[in-house]
Amino acid sequence: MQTLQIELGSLVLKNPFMAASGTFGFGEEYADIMDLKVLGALVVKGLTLKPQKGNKPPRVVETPAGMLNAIGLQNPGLDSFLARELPRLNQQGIPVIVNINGAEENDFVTLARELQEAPGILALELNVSCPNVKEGGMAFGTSPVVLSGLVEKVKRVCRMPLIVKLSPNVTDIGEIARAAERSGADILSLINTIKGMVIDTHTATPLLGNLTGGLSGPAIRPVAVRMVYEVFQATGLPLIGMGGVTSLQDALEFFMAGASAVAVGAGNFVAPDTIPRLIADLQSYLENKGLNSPAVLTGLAHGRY
Amino acid sequence: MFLTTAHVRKKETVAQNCFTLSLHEEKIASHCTPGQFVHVRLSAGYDPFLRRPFSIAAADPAEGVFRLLIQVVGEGTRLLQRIQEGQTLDCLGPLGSGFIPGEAPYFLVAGGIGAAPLIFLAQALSKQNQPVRYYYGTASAAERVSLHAWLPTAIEQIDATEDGSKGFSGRVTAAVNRDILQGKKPGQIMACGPQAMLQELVRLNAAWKVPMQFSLEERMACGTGACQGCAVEIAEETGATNFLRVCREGPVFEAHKVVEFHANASN
Repeated sequence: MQTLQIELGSLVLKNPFMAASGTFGFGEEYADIMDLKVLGALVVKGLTLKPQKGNKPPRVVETPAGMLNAIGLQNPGLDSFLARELPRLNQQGIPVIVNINGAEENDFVTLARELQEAPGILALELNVSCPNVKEGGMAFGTSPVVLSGLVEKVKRVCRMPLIVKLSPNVTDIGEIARAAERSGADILSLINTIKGMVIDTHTATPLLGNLTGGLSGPAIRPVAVRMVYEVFQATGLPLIGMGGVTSLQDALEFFMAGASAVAVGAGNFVAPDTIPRLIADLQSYLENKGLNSPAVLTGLAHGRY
Repeated sequence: MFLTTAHVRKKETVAQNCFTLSLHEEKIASHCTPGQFVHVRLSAGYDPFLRRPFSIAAADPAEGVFRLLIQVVGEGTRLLQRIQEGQTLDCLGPLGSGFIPGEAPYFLVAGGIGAAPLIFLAQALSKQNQPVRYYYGTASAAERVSLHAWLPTAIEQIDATEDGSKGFSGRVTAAVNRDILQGKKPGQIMACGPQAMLQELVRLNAAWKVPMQFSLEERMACGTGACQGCAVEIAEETGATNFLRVCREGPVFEAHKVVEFHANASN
């Protein structure tokens, strides 16, 4: 019997395709054009304890086969999420993963503790890789020591599966991955955006209001695939791969590099029906190949040379 | 909002670097309101990456057709210019929140390609027999789109060119100011155009004191509100400010709430 269901440790998803945090809001925006229940999971926009205003514009700019963004984690905060967004997501039967952010360790711990009690959340994703906020963000994800300290503290209050989202803005992502694994991470997701800059040559000024932003889209895919490949060798944790996925072909690269699930990010902006299309395409692919489950694809590219 | 395929019924060059597309897509044509836009995919590929937003310049629900007025300004619009009649365009829309009815008479103030959403608005207001003056400013006559085919005859059109090659010689905002000083009082101003034009309207409105709505532009990614990329700082009644989305709460905003115009005006 063929199934698209996958297991990332104790996290079970009905298919391996997720909407990456920050690219699907809280689900409301795309509800007109697709049934959000088909998603393997919706990772909601990065959440902080208090509402965040976000960065001054311009916040986005197109780049070759991709884009830079510097939104600055604009979000309504925990209370509003629990009162407004989560009940709506639950009512619609959407599988939810909550991406949590903080300026200091205690913010993450408090968020994790509060969210344990909330209904209908499959897992938490620890965002230690946002390149666009002044405090916290990527600073937690670029030092193995700092990351270990944070993951241990969050893990103490977190009973649900804990995903750690890794930054590509490091020299050795394997070392960071091992630190996360040692301190209790259940799953790793990668990659977050790559820090970049565009300069407006007419005004000789960085184009984004935040000066720098995070690069996403097909332009970063080879970097992301390489990092998934390295992290698969560095740890034994289940991986969620992402970075420029727009087609099944792209997703297969991530599976073969070592991912068990794949998230679609900026590709949603161009083709909002990407995930339903990937689900259908994966189904046909498995049928044509006579395979029972996408799990058999994970890590196939290893040990080839 | 629909994710759909529109057929190019007609393509016409209407000015220097400017063309129109008449697109057949019944759902968009029958659901759109003035001020809303469609987010157009440039190709089946991913480079250039993002969709491009275009204000809807006219809609005919009976025919199932809507029109776009497109100025070629960069790589994306150059690509789009290659499209031929009979081909299709991947469109997401209608998107955004449009103009909200105000008090007549209406002065519509268009700068350059900002004419597009105001044509649709003029058509809608004209159907309701509202008095409308349509001010249309460009740098020169060569950049002008002939709006006679678009605007209902009842609407008074005032042209302005900065080089004086057609109509009022000078900025379109100066033409509006001339008329107001001569006693033509608008109940509502609706405007779309370059930042400098909108800023000048805000400056002049210190004397006019007329409610104004602006259709704004900002760099945009998703077009649906999901990414929060196209932020504009808006002042609440309390005095606090928030970043709202041009693609969702906008593109049309009440001018007095748009922080950047007032920050600049007080300098």
